[in-house]
Amino acid sequence: MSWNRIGALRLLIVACALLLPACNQTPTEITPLPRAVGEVQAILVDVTSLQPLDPGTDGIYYLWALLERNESQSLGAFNIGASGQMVDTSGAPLGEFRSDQFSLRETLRMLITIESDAEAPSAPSGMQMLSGTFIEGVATLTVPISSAIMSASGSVQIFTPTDGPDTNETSGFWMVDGNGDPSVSLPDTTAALIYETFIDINGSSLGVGRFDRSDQADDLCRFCADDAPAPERPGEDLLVNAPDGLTFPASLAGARITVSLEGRTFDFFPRSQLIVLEGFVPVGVTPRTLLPLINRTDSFPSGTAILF
Amino acid sequence: MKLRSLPAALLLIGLALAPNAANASPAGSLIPPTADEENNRRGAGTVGLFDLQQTIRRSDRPPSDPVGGFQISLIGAVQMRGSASGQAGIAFSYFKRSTGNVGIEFEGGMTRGPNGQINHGLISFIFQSGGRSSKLAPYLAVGGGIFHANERLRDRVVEALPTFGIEPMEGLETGPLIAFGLGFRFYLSEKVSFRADYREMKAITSGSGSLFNRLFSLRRIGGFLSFQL
Repeated sequence: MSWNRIGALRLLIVACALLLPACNQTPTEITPLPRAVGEVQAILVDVTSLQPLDPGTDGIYYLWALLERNESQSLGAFNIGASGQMVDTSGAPLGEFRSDQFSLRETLRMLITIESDAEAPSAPSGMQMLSGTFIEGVATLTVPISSAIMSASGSVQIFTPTDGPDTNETSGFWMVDGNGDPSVSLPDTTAALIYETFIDINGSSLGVGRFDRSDQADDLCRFCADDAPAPERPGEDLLVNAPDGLTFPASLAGARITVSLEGRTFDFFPRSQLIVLEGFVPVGVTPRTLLPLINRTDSFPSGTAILF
Repeated sequence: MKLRSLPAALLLIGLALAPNAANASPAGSLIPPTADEENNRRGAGTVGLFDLQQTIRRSDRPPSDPVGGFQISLIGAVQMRGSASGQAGIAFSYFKRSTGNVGIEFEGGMTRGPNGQINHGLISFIFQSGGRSSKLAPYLAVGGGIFHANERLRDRVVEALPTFGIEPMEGLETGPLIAFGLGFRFYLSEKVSFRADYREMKAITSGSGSLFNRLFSLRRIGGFLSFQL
């Protein structure tokens, strides 16, 4: 082996020894230099209209960083304080999230879920509340469903088809108009979220069925009679199998009907805070009345996240 | 042209400027030149690498030396930290004429990151091996310098920061650099060479904590297109 080759080999060995401990050096404080080349010290998050959760019954919010190849990293749990600001699990104000498990710069999207498990889950599995994609370092967080939800509308018809005509006609409601067509217009659901109808009656809140499309039946008719077929639309007759505290056939007068977005695989709480449509049945309602449902998506939570 | 494609561009430019590169190869010819050819070549005042290999004494310096002397280099590189920002620069260097193995290099560069710009100046000592006997010469570089960072937040971030009660402002930072690295120089011709360069530049930032906690690694992979002066 020539002198030059030995010399080159020595150079390489010395250089490798110098370079090995130099990998992934990042200062504990991000100053203008690292930030100029794109390093991120923290993710700042601000949310509005998220409701406080009771961890024992409602679960807890989790913030997730979504990375390439569908990888996700938890940035921690949080709750909402009395004045609407983000707080940590001990109630201290919280506005930024850091991690030493991965480089925050690699975050492509943000996701906020409600998880039922007090221990940190390894991946987002609860109800998806807010999500957003980082563009130029900023992500606008919205409920992860089509923006057409903002123009959702419709009505319910008061009648009870499952016990035949002209019997207990104010004990049921269905999302069908006089021609049998869907009376509610809703955008398509997602893999994570599904619509669910609730009725609040005499102090009880009853989930009466989940559905993806308003032109198809929902998945429940547990209080319906079986004397006649139900419409192939979401709805319910409150005629049989009354839960404790209620008497069926029930009068819907004064009842509240809602259509909300719920976690498709998450049923930890009875009704989420993502109410899409809401209607109230007036006292003295007459059968076959088309009761309007009001769009409530203006109360949806929203937020902003910054890679900073 | 994006800055990150500069290293490849420099190599292509170098190849284009070196039409006689093949002639400089040690394997270019197996037939020794005749005495007349040798005299003609010396009369022209240039000696190629092939000729250098035939010199008996290593310290013999030919009239036109592709290894020793002054060089000017164009630098194109990619900053490996952060968002793979592009870097461009220029360097002046001098290599010891007697051996060509040791050189000193003054480098200035600019890095455009997503949130600002970094300028740096660097003085490096280059220890090179095999330049007189091979077209491919590995080298080691050690040096130090200074950086100046000008942080400019993106417009969307500037617009959103007040939501968090943070007043957006530009950040400036200046500090020292420690640099070391390695590479290979490839002689394209007597006058032109290309260097593939890996450089670990440790910036000592102005943050809090110990020196170790203030280091930021500005890792760079790039190319130098060097011209012998």
